[in-house]
Amino acid sequence: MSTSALPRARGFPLGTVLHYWVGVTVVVGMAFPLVWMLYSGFKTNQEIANTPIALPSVWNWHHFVEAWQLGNLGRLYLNSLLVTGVSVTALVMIASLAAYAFARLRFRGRDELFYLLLIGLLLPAQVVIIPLFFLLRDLQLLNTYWALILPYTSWPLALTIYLLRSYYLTLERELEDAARIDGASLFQTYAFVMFPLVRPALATVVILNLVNLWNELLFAMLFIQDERLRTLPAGLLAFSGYYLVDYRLVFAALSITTVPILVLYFVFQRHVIAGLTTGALD
Amino acid sequence: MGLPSRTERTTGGRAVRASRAARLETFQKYLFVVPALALFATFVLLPLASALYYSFTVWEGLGTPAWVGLRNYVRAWNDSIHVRSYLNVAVYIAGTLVVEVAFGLLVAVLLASDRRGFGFMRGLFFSPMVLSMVAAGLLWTYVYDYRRGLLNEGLRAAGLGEWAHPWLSDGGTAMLAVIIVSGWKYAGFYMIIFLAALRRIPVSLYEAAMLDGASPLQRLWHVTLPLLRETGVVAVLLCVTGGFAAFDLFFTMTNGGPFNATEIPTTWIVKQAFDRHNMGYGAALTIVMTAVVGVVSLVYLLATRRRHAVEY
Amino acid sequence: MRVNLRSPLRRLLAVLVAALVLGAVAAQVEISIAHTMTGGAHRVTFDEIIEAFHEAHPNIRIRQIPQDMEIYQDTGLIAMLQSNDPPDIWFQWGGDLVRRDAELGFALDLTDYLAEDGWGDTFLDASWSEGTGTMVGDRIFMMPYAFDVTTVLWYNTEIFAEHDLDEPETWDEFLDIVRTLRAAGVTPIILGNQQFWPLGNWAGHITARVVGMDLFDRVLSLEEPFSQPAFEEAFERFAELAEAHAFNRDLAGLGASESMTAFFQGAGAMHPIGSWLISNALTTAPDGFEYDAFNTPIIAGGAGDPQSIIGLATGFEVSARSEHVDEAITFLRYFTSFDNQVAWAEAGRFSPIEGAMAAADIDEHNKALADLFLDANELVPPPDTGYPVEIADIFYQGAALVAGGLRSPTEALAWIDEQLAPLR
Repeated sequence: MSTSALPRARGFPLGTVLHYWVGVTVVVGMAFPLVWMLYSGFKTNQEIANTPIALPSVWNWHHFVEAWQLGNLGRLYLNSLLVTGVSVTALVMIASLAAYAFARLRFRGRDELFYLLLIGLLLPAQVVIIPLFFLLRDLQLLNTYWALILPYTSWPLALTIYLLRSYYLTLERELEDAARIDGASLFQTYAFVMFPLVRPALATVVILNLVNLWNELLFAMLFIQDERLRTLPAGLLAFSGYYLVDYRLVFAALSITTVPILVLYFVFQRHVIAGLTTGALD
Repeated sequence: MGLPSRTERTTGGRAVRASRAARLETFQKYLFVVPALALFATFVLLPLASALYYSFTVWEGLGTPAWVGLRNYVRAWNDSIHVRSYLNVAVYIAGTLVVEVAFGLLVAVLLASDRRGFGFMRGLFFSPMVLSMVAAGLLWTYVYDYRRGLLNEGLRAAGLGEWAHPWLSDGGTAMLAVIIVSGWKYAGFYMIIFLAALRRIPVSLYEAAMLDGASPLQRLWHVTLPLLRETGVVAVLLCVTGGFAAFDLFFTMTNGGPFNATEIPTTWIVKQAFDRHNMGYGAALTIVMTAVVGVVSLVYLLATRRRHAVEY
Repeated sequence: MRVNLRSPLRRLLAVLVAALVLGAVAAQVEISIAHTMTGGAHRVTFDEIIEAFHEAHPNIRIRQIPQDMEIYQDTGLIAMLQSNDPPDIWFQWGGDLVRRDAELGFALDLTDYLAEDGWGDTFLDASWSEGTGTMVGDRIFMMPYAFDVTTVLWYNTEIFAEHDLDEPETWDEFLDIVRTLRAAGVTPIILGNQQFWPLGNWAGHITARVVGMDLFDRVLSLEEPFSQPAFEEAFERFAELAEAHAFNRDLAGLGASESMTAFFQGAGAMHPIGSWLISNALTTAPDGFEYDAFNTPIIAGGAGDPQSIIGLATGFEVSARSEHVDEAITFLRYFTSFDNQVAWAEAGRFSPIEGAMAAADIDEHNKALADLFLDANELVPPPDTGYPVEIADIFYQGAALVAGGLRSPTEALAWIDEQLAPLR
């Protein structure tokens, strides 16, 4: 393919040009709102109001400093990191244990319990916000990190166990049997033989849950009322409420809360996309 | 790894030890699932059961719930805004099937190329996916703003000033505006799913079709699309169930307005429960929604029953 | 002499004394106060008052629990009141919520405390009425700390002068102004009604003017249907506004604060909203922005007081479960002392303490509104604080349907009754 390109160096065939043209048009159209968000944060409120599309006349970096300080955005990042970090770790550990048992171990009631769990696949989380709010209140957990960590660990269990179980089912039995014959206990077999094998699927469920929980709004906004404990989406919403008409600050805060994630995504793009399309999803 | 046989168990001390070990192991097996089931029971099943209970009561969130039987369900049936919220969400889902699934498929076919730069374009197309819905909603609220929004300003710059419109303030355009943001955010996700499926199609099939003299369009229609069917079935299911669960975008952009034109079941539930403090009625609405989502998903799964290529 | 011990030396001394006393007194009482002052001048003043209180009463510590207004209203306060550790003092809006807190036994009956040493007499008479919403029956459950006029018509004086317009006395003059402005290509009234209360509050005022307070109260208490001639007459006023294209095109989807900013930027000539516009103007209006206000014009033939205003009191309730009622009262008395209330008024709040507004060095707009409030014979309670929020919500939406030109008055009133049917 590369060698044949030489003789036609004077011009690309029409099809290729058209292909690029359509592709670039679509992608630029998609990306433009993000670019607009980025440079609008540098503009003054007057500029945003009067010339919404134009580039800033002066690049006001201090808007970002202001937004960072006023919105306590560092705190929001830390809260989000803590809540999603703990939740996803706990979720994946717990789900993997259960998925292994549902896939490989035989015990009474196994299938019934698994089907019970599958109910969770179809339930939208909104269904339980009311009782969950009062449950957390009765447990005195509202306005603590636990009010998010516990539901965040519990709600994606059904899907995560389901995905991991499918993957465990595809693994060969031989290694496992060999470990058992060598006298390894159930837990040892799981921890040292099976768990390492399920890594590709783990990558998928970790990425999937990270993206979902990092961005979760409804629980975050209802169960946390203390602004020092808020996560990014709820904090960003509150920030935009306070500074709604201070457009430069809202744009700056939008950029601050999204750009690092976008950069992270572009760095790990290959893994994110591979994670979502291979592993347990096949 | 199976249980010791009956004959073993009856023969002396060795069997007793074996049986004790077996019991210990059975106990251990349950330990694998107990943490998951405990969390699931406490934070999913128990609240679901309480929601069912609350749905038969009148309760403002303070004091004790008062049992009223089926009254909340009758109210839900007669609540014209509630009924309308299902029509609205149906429109939303239909719209997202086009701008998320169909558009995602189209772009997958368009960008499934090894040419230079296409990998980067795919990455860019997918990037809105990693934004939170709140960020997307806020950003697009500014895009749609009547006075200083990107869209109206763009129209004015293009000499189409009379097309400038209060997009989110007009019941006729608000839903469309939200659907487009949804597509902007999620089309990349469906593109990736379809892309993976496209990659699995053997090249030999295309070569065979080319030998038969099929045009690119014919190859798309007769080879590609039929082989993407199973992925499509899953994509549609994801899009439909995801549509019912939509909330963030509506909450940030319109909060159901103007005049309930974008009211969907979830926004109406949150309003009833947390703005108007009708916890019992709100709970009844959640039970209705559970039933609707369950029935729709099951009917769909039965109607399209086959082995799925991609599972979520 | 006010709260602040500005001299560093005195402050240091006070802190030292406080520290000594702190060391001596083992059991110090903590009073928690939940409120919605997350920022602004009034929060600064409130912090200063608390700081001075700590110095004056070293055995009492005040712990503030500030919450975002919307959260506080929706779930925040409810969650706190029902927790094992409810706040000792909390912020509340006068009216239906005070009634609720009293009926459910959350709020302490303050009547006797206020009667002690004439504390209650230091408040303006208007403080103690059903209208301001501090009382349930003849018992007081909320100590007011501010009055708010929730709708007047703010106008851009430059635009009015440009078109040679004066403040209208009557509704017809008002409509003439609307038509003149529209004909000149100016948006007569700019408002963001996404949440329904901004227009709804004004609609409540207009309705009460037309139908009279008694009928207004009966209908909003669901004792009578909305569909009746007097209410149709009131809703005709919104239809007139719709017909005259009085509002901005994005009325239905615009947020309240965005519309206020747009008003400051000259996007419309008038802006019907409450007294809080004054403090916002200080921070967000461009330099040289000139504005003034008039009350809702007199509506001919109305059954209500033609000069009534719409507004309410906000204030503090004390927990009936508090273990430190005396200390809580001590703080409230300190907070409502004359000097502290003058500082409070200077922070932009309308103090309910007799004479505080007159003694304070404040914005002319604030003074004018205070006069308007005190001169009025009738106070219309805002529907969303005077009545259950669900009823108010539906009423607001019905009014918005007419003002948006989407339904006729008859249709909108029928729609309201239909929506309210499950509540009757």
